[in-house]
Amino acid sequence: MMNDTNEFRRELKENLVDWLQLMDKTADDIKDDEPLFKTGLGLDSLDAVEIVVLMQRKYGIPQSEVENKREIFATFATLADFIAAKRTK
Amino acid sequence: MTEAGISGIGILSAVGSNLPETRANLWSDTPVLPRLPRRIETELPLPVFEVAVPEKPADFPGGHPLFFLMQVVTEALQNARLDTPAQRSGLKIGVAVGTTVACQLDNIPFHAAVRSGEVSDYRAALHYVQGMPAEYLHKYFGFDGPAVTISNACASGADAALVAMDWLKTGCCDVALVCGTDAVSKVSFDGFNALRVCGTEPCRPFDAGRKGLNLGDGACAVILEDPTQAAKRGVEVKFVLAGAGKTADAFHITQPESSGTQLERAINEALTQADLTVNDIAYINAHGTGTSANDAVEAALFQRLFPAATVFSSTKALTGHTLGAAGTLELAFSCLMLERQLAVKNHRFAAPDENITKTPLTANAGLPDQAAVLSTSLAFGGSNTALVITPKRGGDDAVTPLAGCRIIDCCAPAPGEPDQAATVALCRKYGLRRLDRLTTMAVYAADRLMAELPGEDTALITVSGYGPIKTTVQVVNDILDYPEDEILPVGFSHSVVNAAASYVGLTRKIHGATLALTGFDDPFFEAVQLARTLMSTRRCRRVLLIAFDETCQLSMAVEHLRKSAAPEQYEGVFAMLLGTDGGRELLLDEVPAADSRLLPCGVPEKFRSSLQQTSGAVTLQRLAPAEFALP
Repeated sequence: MMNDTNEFRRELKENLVDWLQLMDKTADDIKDDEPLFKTGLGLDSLDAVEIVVLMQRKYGIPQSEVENKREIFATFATLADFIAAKRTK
Repeated sequence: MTEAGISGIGILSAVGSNLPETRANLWSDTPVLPRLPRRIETELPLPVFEVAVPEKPADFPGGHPLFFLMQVVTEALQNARLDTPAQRSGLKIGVAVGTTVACQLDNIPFHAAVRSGEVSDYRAALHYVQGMPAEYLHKYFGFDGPAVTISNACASGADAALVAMDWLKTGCCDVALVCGTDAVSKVSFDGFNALRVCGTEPCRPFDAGRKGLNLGDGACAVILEDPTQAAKRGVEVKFVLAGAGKTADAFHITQPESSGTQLERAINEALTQADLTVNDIAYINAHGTGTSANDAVEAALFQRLFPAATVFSSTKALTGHTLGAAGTLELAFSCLMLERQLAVKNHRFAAPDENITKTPLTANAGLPDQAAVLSTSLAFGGSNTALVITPKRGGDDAVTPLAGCRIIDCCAPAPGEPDQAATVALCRKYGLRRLDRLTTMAVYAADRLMAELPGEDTALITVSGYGPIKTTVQVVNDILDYPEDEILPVGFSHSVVNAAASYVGLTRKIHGATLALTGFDDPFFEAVQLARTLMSTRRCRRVLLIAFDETCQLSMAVEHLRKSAAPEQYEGVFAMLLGTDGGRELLLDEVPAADSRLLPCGVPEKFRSSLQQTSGAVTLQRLAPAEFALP
C-alpha cells in the first residue's frame, strides 16, 4: 500500500513538472509537505485552474468535486491524497 | 490644443441595438438579463448577453464582430453627418478598432479541415484576412488616414480611444473613429469557462456574492474630431475625450497586480492630460467585471484615490463583458450619462465583502452640470487604460507636430533563433515558463536590445499578422478533442494577441502604454507611425516595437491565398527601440511601394537591408496593400 502511494506520488510529480511546464524543476524538487502556491513550489492562480482541468482530464475527477475546496491545494501531499482517493481513471 | 470632440456615436449591446434604444433603456429599473447562449453550441450553464441580429449574409467577410461593427460605424457616421463620400470629402479619417474575436481565426470547422489535410473551401481563411476590422473599414469606406486593429484583450476598445485621440492631437487625421467590437464565440466562451471566471447567474459586480462574469455581444463606434470642424457640418459637439492614460502592470498574464499602482498611474496620466484632479471626477464607469480579483483591485483603488463624493458603477451588469468592445461601449455610456446628467446604478449590487471598501451606486444618481467622468479598463497581461470625458471646454485647433523618429537600437535574429538551448537560458534568466514560440521570439529579441529602457517612460508595441496562431490552434484542437469543460486555461490565456507583449513587459519591466496590433496590409508601417505619435504626445520617451509572426499549417494555408508579395519568411521577429534623440534617423515614406515583405505583418526587405548596410538615415516605405484571393 505504502509503495502504491509512493509510486503514485512519483508519477504525479513527474506529470506536474510536465503539465505545468516547471522549466527549472524535476520531480525531486517537489517536496511532499511544502506549500504548492507562493512559497514552496511557487505555483500561481493560473496553475490552480490548470490543475483542476487536468484532474478531470487525466484522473476523471469532476471539477464540481474541487469547487470551493482550497484545502486540497495546501501541499503536494494533500493534492496527491485527494486525487488518489477520488480518481476514476 | 485640438479637442477630441465626440461628434457621433453608434452602439449595439444588450442595452439596445442602436443609440435611441440605448438612450431609452440605459437607466431602466428592469434591465435585460443574460440567457443561455443561442448562437453557439454548448451544454455549459453559463448565461450570456447575446443581442438579436439579422441573419448575416453568407458572403459577408468576417464573423459577427465585423457584422456588428459595420452596423455601429454606419450609425455613428450618420449621427456625425459623415455618411456620404461628399460629407467626408477633404477629411482624412483614421480608424482604430479594438477587438479580440475579430482578429483570431476561430472558425472551428475550418481548423478541423486544415488538420485533416482536406481543405477544399478556403472561404473561411479569406474572410479572416479580408475581415481584419480596421483594414476592412479603411477600404470599405475609402478612408485615407491611419488604420489599426488593436487586440489588447479586455482593454482594446479603450485603447482604440487613446490611439485615436493621439492621432487627432498630432494631426495624423482630421476625424478619428474609435471602435470596439466582439461577439460571444465558442473559443472565448470555453476559454473563460476554463479560467473559472464565468458565473452561472447574472453577474453582480462589486457584490459580496459575485461569482464571475457573463460574456456579452457588443460593438460601439465613437467619432472624434475638433468641435469647430463638426460644427461646420451642423453637428454640435457636447462632450470631449479630455484625457487618456495607459500603463502596464508587468506582473502576470491573467491576474491584476493587487495594489493597483499601475492602474493609478493610468488614471493620473488621464487626469493630468485633462488638466483635472481626482476631486473633479463625479462618476467612474468601472471595469467591474464581477470577478473576485478585478472588483477588489478597483474598489480598493477608488477608495484610496477618490473623495467620498465620487460615485461609481459597472455597466457590465447590463451588457456582460463584451471584451474588446467594452472600453468603447463604456466611453459611450459615460457620454450618455453626462448628457442626461444621471449616472447608472450598479445593478444587482446588494452588499460589499471585506475587499470592497468603497461601494458602488445603489440607485441612479444625478450628476452636476459640467461634471467630468472617468472610465477604467483592465485587461489580461496587466494592461490598464483610463479615459476622462468632460463637457466641451473650448480649445483651439492647434496640433502638436509629429516629432522626429530615431532608431536607437534594433535586433533581427536569424530564422530559427532562439534554439532550444537559448530558449532554456532565456527562461532561466527571467524565471519564465509557459512561453509559446511567438512569445519566446519576442522575449528573446527584446532581451538582446542593449540600449537602456526607462521602464515607466517606455511604450511597447507588438505587431503581427497571425498573432499566437499555434497556441490558438492548440485551443481549437482542445475544443475538437475534449469535452467543452476540459479546455486548458493556460493555453487559452496565451492565445490572446497581447500575451507576448505581457511577457516582454514583464522581462524588461516596461510600465508604459502597451499595445498589440494585428493586420495584414502593412501593420508594421502603422505601428511605427503610431510609435512616433505616442512619442510626439509625450506619452513616452521610447517605444520598443516588436514585429513578429510564427508559422504553422494554418497560417501557411492562409498565406497560400496571398496573391502579391509573399513574405520572405513566415516566421521570425524584428525588434527596434525608437526614440526622438540619439541613434539614426528614421524617415517614413507614405507612398506605397511594391517591395518584398520580410514577415506576414510587413517589414520591407529594403528597410532591413538598409539598416544593416549603411549609417545615416533609414527610410521606411509603406508596402502596397496585400492582396488575397481564392485559388
